[in-house]
This record gives sequence, C-alpha cells and structure tokens, in this order.
Amino acid sequence: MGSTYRLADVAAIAGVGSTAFGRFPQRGPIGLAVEALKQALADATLTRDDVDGLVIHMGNPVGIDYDQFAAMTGLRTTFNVQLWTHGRWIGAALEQAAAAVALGLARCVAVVCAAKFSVLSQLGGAEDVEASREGGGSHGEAPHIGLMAPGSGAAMSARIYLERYGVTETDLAAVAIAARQAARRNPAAWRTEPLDVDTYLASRYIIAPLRVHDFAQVTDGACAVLVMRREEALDRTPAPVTIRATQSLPAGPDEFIFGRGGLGRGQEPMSAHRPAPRDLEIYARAGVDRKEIDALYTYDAFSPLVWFTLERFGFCGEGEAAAFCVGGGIAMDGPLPVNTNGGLLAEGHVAGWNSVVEMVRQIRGACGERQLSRAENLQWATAFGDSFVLSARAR
Amino acid sequence: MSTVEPTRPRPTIGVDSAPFWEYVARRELRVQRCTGCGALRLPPGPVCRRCWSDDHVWIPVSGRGVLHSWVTFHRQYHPAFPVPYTIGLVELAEGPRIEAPIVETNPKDLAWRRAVELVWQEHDGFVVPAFRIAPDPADDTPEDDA
Repeated sequence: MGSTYRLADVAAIAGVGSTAFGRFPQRGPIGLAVEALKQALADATLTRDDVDGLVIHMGNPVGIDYDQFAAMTGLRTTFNVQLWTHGRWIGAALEQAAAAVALGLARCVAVVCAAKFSVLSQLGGAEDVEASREGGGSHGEAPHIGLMAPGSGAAMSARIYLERYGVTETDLAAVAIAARQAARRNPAAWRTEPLDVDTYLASRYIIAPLRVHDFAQVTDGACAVLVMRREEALDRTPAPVTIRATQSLPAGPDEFIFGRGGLGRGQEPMSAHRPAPRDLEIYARAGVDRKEIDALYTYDAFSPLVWFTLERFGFCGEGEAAAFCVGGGIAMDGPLPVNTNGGLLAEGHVAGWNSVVEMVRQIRGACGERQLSRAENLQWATAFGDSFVLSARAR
Repeated sequence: MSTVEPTRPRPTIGVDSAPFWEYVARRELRVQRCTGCGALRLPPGPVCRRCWSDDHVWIPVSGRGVLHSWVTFHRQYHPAFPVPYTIGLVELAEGPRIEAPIVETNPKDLAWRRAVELVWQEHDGFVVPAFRIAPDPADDTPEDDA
C-alpha cells in the first residue's frame, strides 16, 4: 500500500544540535533554541542564511513560537509550520520538513524544539488550560473530577495492561531501569543515579500504578535538526543521515494517545491486538524489514508507552512486551536496544528530539561508550503510531 | 487568617455537552442515542461517529457498569482534590465508557472488570456522577474475618 508514498530516501538530516539538559532558571527557551540551532549549523557546515524553513514543535509557554524566534534571531524563513504544544508531533514534524524540501517549498528546514518545562510548576493541574477542553483533554483529562496531568492517561492504560495480561508493577520497573542504565553511559544525561527494582518499588507513587520513575524528567533544553534534500546534503554537508521514510500521526475513534489499540481506551471495544497494516507500512516505505532495525527510539514520557510501542509495531506479541523488557530485550546489549541516550525517562525531556539527535549521532558512530555495535537502520516509533527510519545509506 | 476552601474546577460546558450536565444536575445519567443507527455515545457530540447522522435523543442509562480501569492520585495536582483519590474508567452496561470518581469503596475491593454502580457526588453545588464497587450478591454475609 506504500505505492503513493514519494518521500523515501529523498531527504536527509544534514546537522543536529542540542543543549545541555537540566534546570536552567537563567535561560529562556529562545536562548536554548538558538544554541541548539547554532550547533546544528556548525555540524552541517552551514550558516544562518542557508535556513529558509522552520518547523517548530512546542510553542509558548514551554517552547518557542516561530514568529518571535525568527524575528529575534534574524532568521528570514519563507516556509513556516508550528505544531500543537504536545510531544506527539515528532514524526509529523520531521515529515513536514522532509516534504517541504522534497516539494521545493524550502531548501533547508530547521526543525526546532525548545522545552523549558521548569516554567510550569507541574505538568498538569490548574494551569493546564487544554485539559479542560469540552469533552475531555487530549490525554483523557477531566479536571472537574481531579483527573489531571497527562500521566493519568498513561496510568489508566497501564492499569488495563497490568490486569489483562497478568503483568506486575515489578515488571514495569524494567523499563525505567533500562533507561537509567543507558543514561549512565551518557555524559549528557540529567538523571544518572543507579536504579534497581528495590529502589523502584520503594519509590513513591505519583498516579498509581505509575511511580516517580515512570515519569519523564522535567528538564529544560532544546534540539535542532536540519533537513535538506539528500542530494544537496551529500554535496554540501559532511555527514548527512538519510530519512529512509516517514509515517505521520494517526487519529480516529480507535486512537488514544497513551495506549495502543485493543486496550479499550476511549470508546472503542476492547479487542485482541495485532499490528495494523497502516502501522507496519513504515517498513515497506523505508525498504527496511523490522528485523533489520538495530535500535528503537520512542516517546517514553511515561514508561508503559514503551510496552505499547513494542506491541503496536509488532516487535512483541500482544501482552508480551513486559516480559521482553524484564528479560533485557530493550537493554543496550539486548536484541532491541531502546533509547540508547536514556530517553525522556532519564536523559531529559525535549519532547523526544533529544532521542532523534541520538539516532543521528549513533548512525555516525559518534556515541563513545554507548555506541551501538551496529547502527545501520534506526527506527523512531511511538505508542501513538508515528514513525520514521534513519540510515547512513539509501536504497 | 481566613481560610477559603479551594473550589474544584468546573467542566467546560458548551452546546454539545450542556444537556448532559443539565440531566446530571437533576441526578439523571443520560447518553445520546443516534436516531440514525441507534449507536450510543459519550462524550456528547453533534454527530454520530458511525453513521454521521445529526439526530439523536438523550436516553437514561441503568447506572450499572464494570470497572475497566482506575488510577489513584498520590500527588496532589490541585488544592481542591486532597490525595489519595481514585478515578475510574467505567464501562456502562449499555456500552459507553465514562471517567468518574470511585467513592465509598475500600481500595482492596478495586478489581478489573468488577461491577460498579452509580452514586452522585456534589461539591460546591455542582453534581457529578461517581461510582462505587457494587455489593457482591454472592457475598451478603457480614464480614466475619475482620
């Protein structure tokens, strides 16, 4: 069914940049974003004048808005897109940039994400205006009954998974532990203290069944990714990485942002789960078999999302992801390393872009102590169904 | 030093959900039934997601259901909601699911797919539907192991 897709191997990531991840009360989101962009341009041996497109993921108040960012930094961009301030748009944002350069709407698109989460006293609660949308917030929030915070949506899905498949909270610990172990080999990671099962089980619940270690780090930081036509990137930049293919964010009555199909979230019936053809299309588009994926990168704002992703994309069968994680499946030396930087659970929370930067650096072999022995085809894929595959080569 | 009780946020009530809340204020739980295909729906909306009919009626539901999921807040996100408290995802006997407080229930009795029944809660003059674990008909002997 991939026959109408026209973006395979057309675009490349020409450069990446990232700030440190932490709490930076003296730095604003625009300052963070411009640092990441400068680094990405230096990485690609390009200059500010080469950037004619902007895709902004995460606007005010935690991030930057396209107009102010361009005006304050002297960018003159003729193609501008800004996505809703939610983490879910990573794949869609990269796809927008790839489509823009493929169609000649722009030559060099800077995809920029700044996330200064420390401006919020918490993620969720009375400040979260979007949660009070008529009919429910986008993660299932209902503030009038105290159902607040995006994590409540993940916790509600996790409870179904635990009960339906006979999985325990001890099993869930394996996800956060794997992220922490990856982070401990990453000098840029924010959260690197050792974490074992006992420490995990002794930690406090935030929204049971999820504990503090099941929640992303609340950090400040920014990342920038430069997208160009692959041919031009090969001509002009030292180490481009091919965007083999992309898959956008799906929507519909059987989509709930923090759970995979079949769990009975939203209003759809609970059912057996099998990866949907639509989800698996990424492999046909990219010309890469799932077995050829050397590591998986995913939006792990809450640890159960890793389970949902593994099952949604068929890396594990229904109800089997928990045991796969307990058995070391997602560890650095396991059959499918996940988020080798530590992800949002341990490295930092730049809405997933820090993990995209990691993918590029892994493919380039630039990850030092945590370098994968093989990083030919790396996949981004999420519980909500967006995906892309990056590779050093093309078909 | 005056103490003002923090108030709970009210839901955003627009044209689509106003009838739902008007019934709730009278302690009636109703859902929309599509006139075109008979599908029941929550949350309230202007069109049937199955057949796209714009026509519907509001029908009462039994108030019985099962507990499809639940979460317990241990972090206090809002001053009007002291922790711990539990919110359930209740699957009504008629099919639609609703998120609602789980009240009058011993946490030990929370169990997946267990029967629940509707009760009403009122805070600051605003009524919301809530649920409690339904008494087990096979277990109406007094607790003698306490």
